[in-house]
Amino acid sequence: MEKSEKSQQQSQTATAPLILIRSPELGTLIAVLGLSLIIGFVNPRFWLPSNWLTIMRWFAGFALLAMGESMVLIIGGIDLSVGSMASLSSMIFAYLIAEMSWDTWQAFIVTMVIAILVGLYHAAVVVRFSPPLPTTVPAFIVTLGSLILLRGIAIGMTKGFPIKIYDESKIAFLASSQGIALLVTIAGIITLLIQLRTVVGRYMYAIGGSLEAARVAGIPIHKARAFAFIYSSILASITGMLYAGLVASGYADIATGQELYAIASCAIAGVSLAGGEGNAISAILGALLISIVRNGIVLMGVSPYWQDVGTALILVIAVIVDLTRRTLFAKV
Amino acid sequence: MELNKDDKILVLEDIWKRFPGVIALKGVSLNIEKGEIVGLVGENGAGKSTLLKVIYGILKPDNGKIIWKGKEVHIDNPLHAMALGIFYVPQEIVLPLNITVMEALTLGYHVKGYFNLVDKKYMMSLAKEMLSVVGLDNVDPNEKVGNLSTASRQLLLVARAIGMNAELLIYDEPTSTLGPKEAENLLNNMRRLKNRGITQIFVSHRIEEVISVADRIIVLRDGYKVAEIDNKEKKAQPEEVIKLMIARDIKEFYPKVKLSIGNEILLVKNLKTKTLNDISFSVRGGEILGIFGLLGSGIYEIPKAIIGIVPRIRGEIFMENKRVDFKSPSEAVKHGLVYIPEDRRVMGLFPLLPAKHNITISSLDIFRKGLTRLLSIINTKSEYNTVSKLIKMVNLNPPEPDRKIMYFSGGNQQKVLISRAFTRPVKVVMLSEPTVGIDVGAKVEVRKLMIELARYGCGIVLISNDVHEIYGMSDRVIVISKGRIVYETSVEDTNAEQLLLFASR
Repeated sequence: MEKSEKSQQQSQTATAPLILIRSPELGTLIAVLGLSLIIGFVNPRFWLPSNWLTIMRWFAGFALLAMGESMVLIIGGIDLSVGSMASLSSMIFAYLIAEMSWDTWQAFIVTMVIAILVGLYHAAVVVRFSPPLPTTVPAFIVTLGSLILLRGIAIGMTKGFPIKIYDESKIAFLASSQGIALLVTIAGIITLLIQLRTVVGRYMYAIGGSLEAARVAGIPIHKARAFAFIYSSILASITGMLYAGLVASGYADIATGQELYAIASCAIAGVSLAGGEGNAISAILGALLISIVRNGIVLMGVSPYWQDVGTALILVIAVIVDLTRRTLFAKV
Repeated sequence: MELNKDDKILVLEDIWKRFPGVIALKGVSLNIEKGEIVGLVGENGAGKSTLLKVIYGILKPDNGKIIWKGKEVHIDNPLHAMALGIFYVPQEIVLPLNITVMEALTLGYHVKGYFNLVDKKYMMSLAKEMLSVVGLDNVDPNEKVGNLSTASRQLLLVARAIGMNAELLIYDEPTSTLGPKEAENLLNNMRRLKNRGITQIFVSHRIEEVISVADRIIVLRDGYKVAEIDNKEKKAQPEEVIKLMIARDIKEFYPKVKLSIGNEILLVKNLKTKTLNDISFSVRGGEILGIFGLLGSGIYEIPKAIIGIVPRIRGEIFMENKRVDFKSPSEAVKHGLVYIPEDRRVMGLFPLLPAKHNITISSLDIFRKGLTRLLSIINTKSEYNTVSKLIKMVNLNPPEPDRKIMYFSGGNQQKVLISRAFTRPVKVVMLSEPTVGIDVGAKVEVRKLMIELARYGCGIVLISNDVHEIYGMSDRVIVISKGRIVYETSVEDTNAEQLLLFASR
C-alpha cells in the first residue's frame, strides 16, 4: 500500500508540467502571450492599435483559410488548393464588380457558387478512389492539381494584370474592420458549431479516425467528405473576396502560398494531420500565432524577407511538441 | 523451498509496474526453469501483457529484480532482450510482406561472401535449415512472405528466433488468429522446440490449449500471481483454471436461453461472390443462426457481401419479404441490419473518439433536432440518456462515457461496439467473432448481450470459428466449407464433433 501511494504522488507531480504539452491549444495560447510580451518589450509599437489592425488583417485571412482547412484535415484529407482558390476568387469577384458592374452581393454569391463547384470536383475525385485508398492520397493529388490549375486560371484571366475596383463604395463593408471582424466571427461560430454539435461534424471525426470503421458503421462517408471539401473551398473563396476588398482589386497572386500557412496554423495548435482530432479553435489560435510571428519579425528590426523562416521555425517546433505529446500519451 | 538457481533460466522477483491510475503488476515473482513451457493465463487486465512487456524490455519495472541465467539484468529494450536470447512472438505478425522467406529469415544476419556480397547459396541453406526446425519443410524459401498464411508467418518468426539462438520464446496469444488445425500445428511445434531445450512462455485465452501444452500454469489476477498449477504429472481441469482466473463460479459459460421464434426477417438466396458460392439461409426474429466454418472457409465474407462491402456477383436478399439490394453499409443500417465486424480495431471502433460517440455513431439520425440530415444539431441530452442507460446495461468498466475508446480493454471495447445495435430499432444483427480476443468474463457478458438482442425480437447471425460458441449459443447452424454450405441443422440434432467434421471437409 505504502508503495502505491508514493507512486501516485510521484505521478501527479510528474504530470503537472506535462499539461502544457497535453493540450496543444493551451500551449499555443501561452506561446501567443509569451511572444506578445517579448515583441512588445523589444518594440513597444507592437501594442499600438494601428499595429493590431495590421495583425488582425493578416489574421483574418489566415484564420478563414485555416478553419476551412481544419475541416478537410479532420476527415483525414488535405486541401492544397485554398491559396489558389482565394486568389482566383479575388479575381472573379473583382471582375464581376469592376468589369460587369454587378452588385456586390451578386458577385459574392456567384464567386461562392464557383467555389462550391470546385469543392464538389475535389470530393468527386476523392470519393472515386477512396476507399480503397486512404483519403489523403487522392486528396493530395487532386488539390495539388487545383493549386496549379486555379492559379493558372486566375493569371490567364487578365494575363497576370490585377483588376482594379474603382467604385470603392461597393467594397467598403468588406474593407472595414467591422466587416472583417464580423465575417471571421460568424465563420468561427459556424465552423465550431458544425464540428462539435452537428451530425456531419460527428461523422467527420469518425471518418478521420478510421475510414473503414466509418463505412461499416453505416456513415455516409462520401457525403460527409464532400461536405468538408466544399466547406474548405467556400471559406477560401470568402478569404479571396476579403483580400479583394482590402486592396480594392483582384490579383492572381494575392494568396499564393497561403495554403501552407493554413495547414501550418492547424498543425501548430492541435489539428492532427493524420485526421480525427482538433477543431476551429485550434485553427484560430494557430493563425493568431503565425500572424504575430510575422508581424514581430518586422517589428524586431528583421527584414520581412525572413518572415517565412520564422513561420517555418514555429511550425517545426509545434510539430515536434505535437509528436512528443503523441508518443508520451498515446501508448499506455 | 530453496532451489539451486542454476537451473532457473529466468527469475523475476517482486516485480511492480504502475501506470497512471492503475497498478498493473503487484509484486509478481516467477521462477522459470530451463526447457519448460509455462502457460500464463488471466483475464484481460490481469497483467499478462504488462508482464510480457517487462520481460521483453518494452516496459521497465518500477521495482523488482530480473535474473537471467543467474545474473541480474536490466533489460533496456527489445534489442537488448534479443541479444540476451529472449524473443517475442506477437499476436499480429509484423513482417514485411514483399520480401522472400529466405530474406525474412536472414534479415539482420551479416551474411557476407567474397567482396561483402550476399552469399545466396549460404543464405539458402541457412533458411532451409531454419524452416525444417519449425516443420515448414515444404515452404519454398523463394516464396514471398505475403503469400504465406498467418500460421506459417508465425512459424517463420519462430524459426528466425531459433536461428538467432533464442533461449526463451514468449508467445502472446499466438493461436487467437488461427483455425484449430493450424493452432494444433503450432502447439506441436512448441513441443518439438521443448525437446531442443528451448524455454517457452505461452499466453492464451484458449485454456484447453494451455493445459494441453504447458508444464506449469501460472494464473494472474488483478496484477497478483494467484496460483501456480503443476500440469506435468496430472493435467489440470479447465473449470479449475477458469475459476482461479475469475474468482467466481461461471456455470453459464454459454448463457443460452430458448426464446419463442417469430417471423422470418432476413432471407438470403443464392448469394455468390468471388469466394462464396450459392449461399442461402434465413433468420427469424428471436433466433440465433450460427454460421460455422474454419479459417479460410469464407464465413467472414457472408455479412460483408450482404451489406455491400464485398461485391456480390449474384444473389437476392429479402428483409421482411421485401427485396433489398444494399450497396453500402449505410443503406443496410437504415433498413435495420447491423454488422459487428470481427476486426474491431480496424473495422469496428473509432479509437480517438470517446465511448459515447462510438456507441451512437450509427444512429445520429435519431438524436437530431431539425430536419436537414447532415447539418442538424445533435440532441446531446437524449443522446446522453441513451448512452448512460446502455453503459449500465452492458456493464461498461470503467463506466465513463467520455473516456476515449482506445483506453478501454478489449472486452469493454466489444461491449461498446455491440451496444451500438441497441441504439436504434434493429431487425437483424450479424456478429462476426464477437468474443475473440477478450477474457472469459467478458465473453459471457457479450453472449448475454446477444441473448438480450434476440429477446427484443432481433434475428441474430453469429459467425464464428469457435465450435463450442456456435454449438452453445445457436438455435440453428449452417456449416461453411470452401465457400459453400455443407451442412445445415437444428442445434438439437447435432454435436460439436459433427460440426467440426463437416467444417473440415
